[in-house]
Amino acid sequence: MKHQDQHYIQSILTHHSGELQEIYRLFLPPLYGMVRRQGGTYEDARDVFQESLVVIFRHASRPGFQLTAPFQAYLMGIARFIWLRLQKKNARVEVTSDWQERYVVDDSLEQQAVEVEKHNLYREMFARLGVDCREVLQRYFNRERLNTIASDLGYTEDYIKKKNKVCKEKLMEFIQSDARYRELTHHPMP
Amino acid sequence: MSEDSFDETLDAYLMDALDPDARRAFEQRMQADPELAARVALEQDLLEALNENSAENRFRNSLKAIGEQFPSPESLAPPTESPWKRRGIIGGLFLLLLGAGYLMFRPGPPATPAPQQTPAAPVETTPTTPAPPAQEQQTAAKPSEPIAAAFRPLPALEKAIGSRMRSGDFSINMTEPAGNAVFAPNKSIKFRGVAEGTFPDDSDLNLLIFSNDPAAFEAMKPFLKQKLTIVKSGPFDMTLQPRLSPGKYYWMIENDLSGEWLYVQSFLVK
Repeated sequence: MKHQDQHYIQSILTHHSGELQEIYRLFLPPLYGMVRRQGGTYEDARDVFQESLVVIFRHASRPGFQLTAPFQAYLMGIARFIWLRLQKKNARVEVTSDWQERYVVDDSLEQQAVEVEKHNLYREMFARLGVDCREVLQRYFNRERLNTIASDLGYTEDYIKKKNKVCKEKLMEFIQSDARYRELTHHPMP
Repeated sequence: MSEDSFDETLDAYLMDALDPDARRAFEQRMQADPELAARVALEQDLLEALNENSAENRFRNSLKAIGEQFPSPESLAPPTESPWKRRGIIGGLFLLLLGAGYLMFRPGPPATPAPQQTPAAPVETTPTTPAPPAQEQQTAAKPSEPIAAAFRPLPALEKAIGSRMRSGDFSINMTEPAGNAVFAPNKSIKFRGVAEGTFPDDSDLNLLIFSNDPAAFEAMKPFLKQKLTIVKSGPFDMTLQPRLSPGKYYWMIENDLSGEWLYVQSFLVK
């Protein structure tokens, strides 16, 4: 059965600006309270909040999704999961929390959170590439045809193909050599 | 297959531009070659993650723009719409400065003992007649009758007033004290409510009282923090005798473990 808070999900799926602002106003303060107790800052809370909404966007975009719990509990459960992972990563030590036992983030939700984290890693690695590589690859990832990119940039198509391949391999090398990628791909943290 | 030809096939596969037979053949090749399958999976992931036009990235951009509208906790307060409200705030700030000046230069100790976290103490400019409840102040405040500093609403908490939220499977519905209830200084206050739902064995709830001092709220340092033990659904009550000086106060019930606010309300002491 649809929960009465389902309208928050609709606001997220439709990127409704006014209602998203309302979601920030209503639910960021309690999250900030929680993050602050754990030694985090407002900026940390805002980042975790944004990532949580992206996870919800992915999770709720799946066909047949229905919110069955109060939106705040759903959001806070995801936010806690993300915050806990962040703390573990930064501290590189075992962090224990009662949240893990009290708020179960199911496997599919956890998978979405891991995917969002992987995407953030890709963006971070992409930013490490040189300007030329980023220019060509960004257009390629935006699904522009290589011959269009070549003609726009004033190169031959062969040159752009090679450039694209070299840059993509560099990006994949950055990603695959990062310990976080191995962790996210093979051993996702609880 | 030459390297160039392989790259073209791979790109065509990723761009969904292979004909069905070629696609099937490529997928069979992936099944037999896990390394190739892993590479294709990563490239597909990159195409999804780094495409600026993907639904997720467009949503992320929307959130980034909205997040920038809230650079600080104070910015999360509801927007002020009424010019009267703005003037009231300006008047309140003016009085706060005036009060601070008075406190700095007045002779002798303060007339009333300051609480642990002083809600800005009433100053000489405080109207002698009791201040009206905050909601009335917001609509009826005139520039010539600004809100006294100790009674200024705290925007970060105003928005949450009256909210009744759930934590997991349970919720709290408070019936007393009513919003903007008025108490005399040092009088006991009864908190009464009804718990609903299933309470976990280890549920730890706190009743917190904040003054209207934004810095105290910002630091999450309540004037008073009292453990509230609720073990089952039904009515409950708790009486406290906090030593509060005149001003506006907020109280909330929070889940200690999660930090969730289950209920937020305000009262006045005067």
